[in-house]
Formats: sequence, C-alpha cells, structure tokens
Amino acid sequence: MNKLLQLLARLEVIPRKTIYLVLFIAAGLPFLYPIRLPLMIWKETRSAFNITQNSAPNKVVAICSNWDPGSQGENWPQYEAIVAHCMMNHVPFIVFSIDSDAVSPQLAETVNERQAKRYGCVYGRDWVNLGLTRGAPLVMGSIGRNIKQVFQTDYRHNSTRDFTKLPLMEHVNSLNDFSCLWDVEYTPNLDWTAFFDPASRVPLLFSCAGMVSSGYYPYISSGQIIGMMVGTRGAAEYENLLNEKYGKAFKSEGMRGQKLVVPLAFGHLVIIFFILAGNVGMIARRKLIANERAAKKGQL
Amino acid sequence: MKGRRIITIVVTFIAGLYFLLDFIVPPTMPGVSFQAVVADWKPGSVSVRSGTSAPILYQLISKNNLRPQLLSSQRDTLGKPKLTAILLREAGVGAKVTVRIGPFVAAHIINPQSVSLADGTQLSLSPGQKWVTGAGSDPIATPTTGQPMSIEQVDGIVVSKDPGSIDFISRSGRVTRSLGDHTAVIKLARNGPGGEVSVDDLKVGDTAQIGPATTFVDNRDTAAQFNTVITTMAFGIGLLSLGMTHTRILVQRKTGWYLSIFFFFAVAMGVIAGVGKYEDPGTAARATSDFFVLRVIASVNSAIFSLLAFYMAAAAYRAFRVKTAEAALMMTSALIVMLGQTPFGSYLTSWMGEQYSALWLPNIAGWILRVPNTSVFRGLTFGVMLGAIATALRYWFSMEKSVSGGE
Repeated sequence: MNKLLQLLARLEVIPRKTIYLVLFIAAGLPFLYPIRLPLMIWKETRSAFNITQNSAPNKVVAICSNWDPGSQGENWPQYEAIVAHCMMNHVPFIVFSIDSDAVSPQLAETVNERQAKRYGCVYGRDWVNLGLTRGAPLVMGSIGRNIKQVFQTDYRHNSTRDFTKLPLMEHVNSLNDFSCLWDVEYTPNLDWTAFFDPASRVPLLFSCAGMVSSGYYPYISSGQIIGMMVGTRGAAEYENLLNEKYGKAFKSEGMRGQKLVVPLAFGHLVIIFFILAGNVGMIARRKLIANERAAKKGQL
Repeated sequence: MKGRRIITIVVTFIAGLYFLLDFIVPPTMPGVSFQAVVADWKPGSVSVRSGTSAPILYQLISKNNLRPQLLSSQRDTLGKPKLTAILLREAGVGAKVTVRIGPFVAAHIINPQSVSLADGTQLSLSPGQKWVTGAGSDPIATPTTGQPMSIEQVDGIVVSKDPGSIDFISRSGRVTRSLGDHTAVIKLARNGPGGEVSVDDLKVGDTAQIGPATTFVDNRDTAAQFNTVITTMAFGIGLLSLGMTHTRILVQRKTGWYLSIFFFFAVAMGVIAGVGKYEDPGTAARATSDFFVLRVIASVNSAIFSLLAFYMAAAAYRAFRVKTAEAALMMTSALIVMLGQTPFGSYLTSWMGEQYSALWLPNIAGWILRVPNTSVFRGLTFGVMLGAIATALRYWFSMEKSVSGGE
C-alpha cells in the first residue's frame, strides 16, 4: 500500500520540463494527424452570426481590428471567419484599428486580400481598410458621429471622400450607416458601450480571447453586447455556422478555426490531467505522512 | 521645476474637466430645452449672396431629393481643402458657405441655363450659381443629359436665415415654437437613426428634444482629434527618449552597449516595414513590408506569446491544489468551464441525448459563465470602479505627486 502511495506521491513533483514536453506533443500531434471532434455552438456565437447575417444591404459592417501577432492564434481565425462571412453575404465592411499595435491594419489587410481572392471582392467597393488611429475612447464617439473626420484617408492613402476610388465610402458617414460593430482583439474595449453609441442602436459584437471572456458575460446579459465569439472555439463554431448556411460556397480550406480548436482541446486536456495528477500526488503524500505518523505512534 | 509642476497641474485639471463635461453635459441646454412629439414643422431657409448679385433664397426642404446642402470649406490633415456638410445652426450670418443642390440627372436641356428632370421638374441657374459635376465641385460649361450633375453657389455669404418652426402637442393643445439661430433639434430614437437633425428631417410623430445647443456638441470631434494628436505625439516622444538613451549608452560604452545596437536595428526594420505597407499587393515594396511584418515581427511576437502556454500549464499544475472547500469549488468549476469550452466537452456528454442537454458539459459551463460568473463579476466591477474613480480623482487634482513632477 505504501509503495503505491509513494508512487502516487511522485505525481506532486513532476518536473516542469516533463509538463512542457507532454504539452508540446499533445498540442502538436493533431497538426500531423488531423481529427474532427463535435462542437456545440454557443448561443453568443449564434447571436453574433445572426446579426452579421441579417445586416441591411444599405449598411456596412464596421470591424475594429486590433489584433496583433501576439494574439493571432485566437483572433486571426475569428477575424478571417467574419471577413469570409461578409464577403459571402455580399455585405460591405470597413475595417479600422484604434490604439493597437502598428502592424494590426497590415495583418487585417493580409486576411482581407486572401479572402477577396476567394470570393472575387474588390477593394473600395466591397471593403475599405481605414488604417490606425489613436485616442480612445474619445475617438470612438467621433467614429459614431463622423467617421470621415476621424479617418480622412484610408490605409492606402486614398481620401475617404474620393468616391471614385472608394465608392463604398459615399454612403458611410456615421453610426446610422453601420449594421453592427465588431471589436476583434485579445481584450475588446468596453468603452465602445459608453462612447460609440450610448443608446445601443448599433449592435456591438465582441471577438475576444478565451481567457478573458468571463469578464464580458455581464454585458451580454445587460444587452450592451449582443453577441460574442470566444477564442479559437468561437471561431470554429462560426466556421461551422458558415458551413451550415453556405455549404460548398464556403471555401473552408486554410481556415484556422477548425484547424486550431483540436490541438487547443488536447492542450486543455493535458493541463486538466496534470492538475488532477498534482492533487492525487498531494493526497497520496498526505496519506503517506499520516501512515508514517501512525506507524511511529504504534512503535511508541 | 516648480513652474513645470504648476503647468502640469493646471493642464491636467483643465483636460479632466473638459473630459468630464464632455461626458455629462447634454447636447441642449438643460432647463430651457423641452422634449415634444412633433405634429408639424416649417422648414428653415437661408439667403446667400455671391459678389454683387442679389441674394438667393434657399428653402431647406427635400423636394425630389434636391434639398439645398450647406457646405463649409475646411482643410484635411494633408492640407487639401474639402467641403463638409453643416447644419443651418452652424452657418451664422456673414459666414462663407457653399450651397449645393443635387446631384441629379438632366433628362432634357432647355437652354444652357435651364434643364428639366425626368419628372418634369425644371432647374435654372440664378446669378452666382453654376453647373458642377455630380460628386464634386468641378465646373461644367454646359449641362449634358444622362450625366449626374449639381448646381453650386460657391463661397457665398449668408445674408439672413430663418431657422423655421416646430408644431408640437402639449397638454394645452397644439403649440407652435419658432426656432432660434442656435437651437439644436435632437431626434430621439431608441432604434434607428437619431442625433441632431435638420427640421425637415423630422417626421410627424417623432420625439425631439429642442433647445439652445451647448458648445460641447460642436467641439466633441475637435477634442477627440486633439486627444488623438496628443496620444500620437506621446509615441514620438517615447521613441526620441529611447533613441537618446541608447545613443548615450553606445557613446559611453556602458555595460551591455552592444544590446543598444539591436534597438536601432529594430527601429530601422520597423521603418522599412512601414514604408511599403501602403503599396498595392504584388509590388516589391509591399512584399518587403509583408516579409518584415508577417515573417519577422509576427513570428517573433507569436513565439514569445506561445511560451506563455507552457508557463501557464506549469503554473496551473503547481497552483491548483485542493487544500480547502473553497479551493475545491473553484477547481471543480474551472475544470467544467475548461472542458466545456473544448470539443471534448461535447464529446464526453452529448451521448446523454437532447432530453438531458442541460447536463452537457458545454451547457453547464455556459450556465456557470452566464449566471454565477456574471453576478460575481458585477460585484467585482462595482468595487473596482469605485477604486478607479478615487484614483482618477487623485490624478485629476494632481494629488499623485509622482505624476505631476513632485517628490
């Protein structure tokens, strides 16, 4: 019995390098041997999908794309799914970044151009990248009142009032022209709820990292945020919804949500295993100590 | 040093005061404003004169989408002049404005001064007006059929204006209220477009708030631009400061001086990446920029962040030990939420069937996040915000001396 306890007690002191190695193998193997697992679609993801799907044809989807290389593991698949959805649904969209990493607009544009090739979309007509500005949260209110004053040129230095190059911008002036606003970043900015449209006429949709998502649920229950895509899991769910809605028209090759969600799940499983193992080890050690004390008392 | 500190304190206070007022002052003056359901309205009008010609009277009402638009000339960030639409309230007597009617497409040219539209409406030029292209202010010598065009009176002077009036329903019956020169009309709408509008944008039955405009309405965007400029300048100052520090280290050959070379190398890389990023895809400049951003910066940044996953796994293994009942509760909910967020959650519990779907791990995880987590987070947020308000007040009144330059 004591030998078994001694063996289990060793689980309490697993070397850090072993954890790293097991995690590396668990997260890496699904890339080599892809497998599919069932995925339940959460109502926050479905709600965000429905709002984007039902965008009025005369309005644009506004996307605040603040993700950077550090959060691309979760935000890239989310952003790509939103862009693919807008392009398939023939809903024009505008993208901008606020107070983000300087490379955010370029990352967004890389995804836009990649998806535009698949769905035959044209810059200026189907989407406009307005680039980066600073000065949140005041600038959020300005975007709602007069977006052309905030972004006087787009990312490619065309004037936002040059409607021959950017015909999409002719009818985009204020929040009345937005069907919804997506904020895609590691921790979406809650200032949108107070500064952009305090009357909540434009639905706010957040796309965040899994780790910080718990902080946004109070705002969903209050109706200030209408939908949310949580981490890679949310992106994979969104891709499933796109697949359900558009079938073969949805070109899923290279989409990252489905590809990353399984390695992530294995990673989580490894963490859960080690947490449980650590606790089993702790209980075994305590039992061992108790047994030793009892044995000593018996000797006395 | 003392003078600098006083300047910091004063500027901080004024900036904080503006920010607070901007947030709390309503668009119309409280006390003298009223809210009413619109029964009818009379549109505003404006007389604009160009040179020595007689003033032209414009009725500011939509007719075949030919509502005269008041435009003010401003300069954009690149210094180019641009015309921005303004409300009648913003165009004072004596102000320089451009008035544009259109765009429209002429169906028939009556003479070089008059055209008719498809619905029979006739449009004629008055002295001081000219034909321009539909989208902008490029003049057209003679009108042509089938092309979008507009009528413009460029750089006219406002001679007089009538802001119009609004009829609304009150307890004593129907009341007509004339609007003042500085009266703002705010359309109130829970769903759909709202905000400040022209009188003729109102519909019978709309609820509007009417009263003298507060200056904050007109200056909010200017304040936001100022904020943008200050924030951007802070980055420039940061870069300069870093550059000076690293130059000093290099010149004085301090310990680890060779590491400062990497700073300048990184800045150079950032500049190279930034120069070509505006180019069209497929060009050499854009390819170079994409290489630095996507293959160098993104890869290095991702590699650093991906290390976090390994550290977090090791930290979770060491920290999550069930030593008390509270720790057991926390660990159980953490495991459920973690498993519920992965496909394994569905895989392990969906065999129970739809009738027991409430017991599926993702649904339990969702309930934990939506109900207990929401209530706890709200309480936590209230507490944190009270602390944040206290800290903000300390900053506003420069009681945090380390920030305002004190000891």
